[in-house]
Amino acid sequence: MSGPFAEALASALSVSSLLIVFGATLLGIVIGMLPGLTATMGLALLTTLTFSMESSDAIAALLCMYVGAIYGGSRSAILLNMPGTPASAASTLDGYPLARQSRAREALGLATVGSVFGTLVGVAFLIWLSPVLAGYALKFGAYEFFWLATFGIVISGRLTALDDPLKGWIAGLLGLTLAMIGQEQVFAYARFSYGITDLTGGINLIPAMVGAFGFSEILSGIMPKDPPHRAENKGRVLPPLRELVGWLPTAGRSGILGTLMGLIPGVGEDIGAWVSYALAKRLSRTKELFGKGSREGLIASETGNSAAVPGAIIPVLTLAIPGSAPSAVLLAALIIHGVRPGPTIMFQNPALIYEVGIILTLASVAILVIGLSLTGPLLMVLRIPRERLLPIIFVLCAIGSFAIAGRIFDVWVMFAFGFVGFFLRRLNYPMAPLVLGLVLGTLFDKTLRRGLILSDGSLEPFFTRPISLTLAVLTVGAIAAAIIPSFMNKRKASTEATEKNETNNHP
Amino acid sequence: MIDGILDRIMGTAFCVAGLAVLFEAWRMPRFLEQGASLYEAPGLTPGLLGIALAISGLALALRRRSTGSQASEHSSLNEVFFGSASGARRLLIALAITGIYALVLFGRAPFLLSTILFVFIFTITFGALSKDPPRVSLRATIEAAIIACLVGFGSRYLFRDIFLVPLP
Repeated sequence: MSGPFAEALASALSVSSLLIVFGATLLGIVIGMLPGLTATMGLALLTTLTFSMESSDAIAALLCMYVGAIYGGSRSAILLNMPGTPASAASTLDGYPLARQSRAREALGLATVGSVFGTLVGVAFLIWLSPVLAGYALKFGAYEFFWLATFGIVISGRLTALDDPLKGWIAGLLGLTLAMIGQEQVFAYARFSYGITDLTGGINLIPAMVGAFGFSEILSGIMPKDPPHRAENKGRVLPPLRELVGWLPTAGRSGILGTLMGLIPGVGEDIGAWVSYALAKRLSRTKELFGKGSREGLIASETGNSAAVPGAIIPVLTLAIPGSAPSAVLLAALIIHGVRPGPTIMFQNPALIYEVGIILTLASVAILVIGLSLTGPLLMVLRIPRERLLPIIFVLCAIGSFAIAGRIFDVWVMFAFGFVGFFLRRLNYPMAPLVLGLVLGTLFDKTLRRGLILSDGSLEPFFTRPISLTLAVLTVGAIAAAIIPSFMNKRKASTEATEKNETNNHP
Repeated sequence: MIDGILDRIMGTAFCVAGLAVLFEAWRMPRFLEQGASLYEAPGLTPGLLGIALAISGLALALRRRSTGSQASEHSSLNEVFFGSASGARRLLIALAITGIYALVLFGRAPFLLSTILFVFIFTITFGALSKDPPRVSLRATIEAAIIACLVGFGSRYLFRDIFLVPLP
């Protein structure tokens, strides 16, 4: 056996690699299950710890941390009714009621099986779709990448703020604007720097993300006076195989949907879970159980969020555009470790896609083993009081931000993003589009200016090239789909109110 | 009611911020004298983003909230941001302690000392606040001191000696 796949398999199956897979997955699960520590933050902190590691070992550790943390969130969602990561929010709906019915162990087991199945579905798509997408992306020029960045911000803003897309779009615009700080690429002119040397280098992504996702979570976590009620971990681990097989269509649908949600720039695991859950509820024969302890609902949400992990990695590898917030950190970490993701990945590093697929598969095996056998000891972590855990997390936030470039300024950035992020989140502004804007800002700026120079100021190529046109239509469609129904509803409500007033005035 | 007011305030703030970005982008050099095209100007993209942010802010400030969203309104600022009065107090204390550590001590005072102090004060303060009425016991003080030392020495060993990250 030779070629990129064999090369990747040999690299992934070494003893050191397997130890890293097991250790990083376990660490990911612990981080994911602790409310206040998200997958994004876990990845950002681990990135600083992998500086001195071999590139392949570092990538393996980061991937396992990612998939482990998304799965780990289900532990606290089920036992505390408090999602360890935003991706597990949908799992609280049925996971916690199951735990309250003395079926916590079964809920934890079902979440494990769902996560493993979802990851494997996502991996299948990753191996199949990445080379196809990378080949297709070779046709992309400045115009296409401009629209891809714009579409990512628009769709991320729309899907992460379903009730109020305007706030999602404002968050995305804020991220793009913040990305303009520092030296631009054509003249090396330092924008919005005002002579401050630290601002000339721009805002580093990792401290910004540690702040927005880590510090703001610490602030949210410390506010309630009473700790959450914890359900007992008891009952059988898994239902009979026959019942599990019966949920295969739900799991399959959720796996595909989750992967697709992961693929869309900036959307990610939480939307993957919610969309999968909503579809499972719509198609279920036992709709009435959803929200009261439906095992099918729990499987759908957990399969959906885990499938979104490989899904979100696909655009990272092939387009250098993150599918979710944690994958944005992964993208930064890949670049730090000398990997150049993008359309040329299949020429420059064809084994990487297979390596990622194999590592994710091994991580899902580790999840199965840890999830079904070590749940009891792992749950001891949830007994640690918040006042002891949160300062440790904050110390890690500060060191992690500082370690990237050895700048105190990055610690301030972390604090500022956490502080502002906390208040924006309380006002229902999602953080994912803001972070995506920060990641895509450079691409957005570069491709817009390059496109305009190439066309000598004409906007025509932005709308006439087939892929550009498709992406432009999708972007405008996403905006229209959010605005028009809201406008119609308001108009209808206004008409009804007028009619009601008239009826009251003229009985 | 309060959510609508907050939207108007935030919308106005975003609109002003967008206009400020546009103004600053307009002031940026265009390098035309060096033969650069107008489309290469560093202020082009920030200017467009400023316009988009100002329009979005204006839309947020001027929009009318639908009947459905009014039904799920918060009644006070406390409810929106802190959940309760005690939540506000806990948040302010957390901000003060973390702020002093991250913005003042980190990088200026020795890492070990500042980290041990931070963890000790955070643990003891919130440990006391979780009791009704708030109180500090000798046992809690000793435990907090042990945790603080473990975190301080442990994090220094992990980052400085194992991962070779230079600490301030």
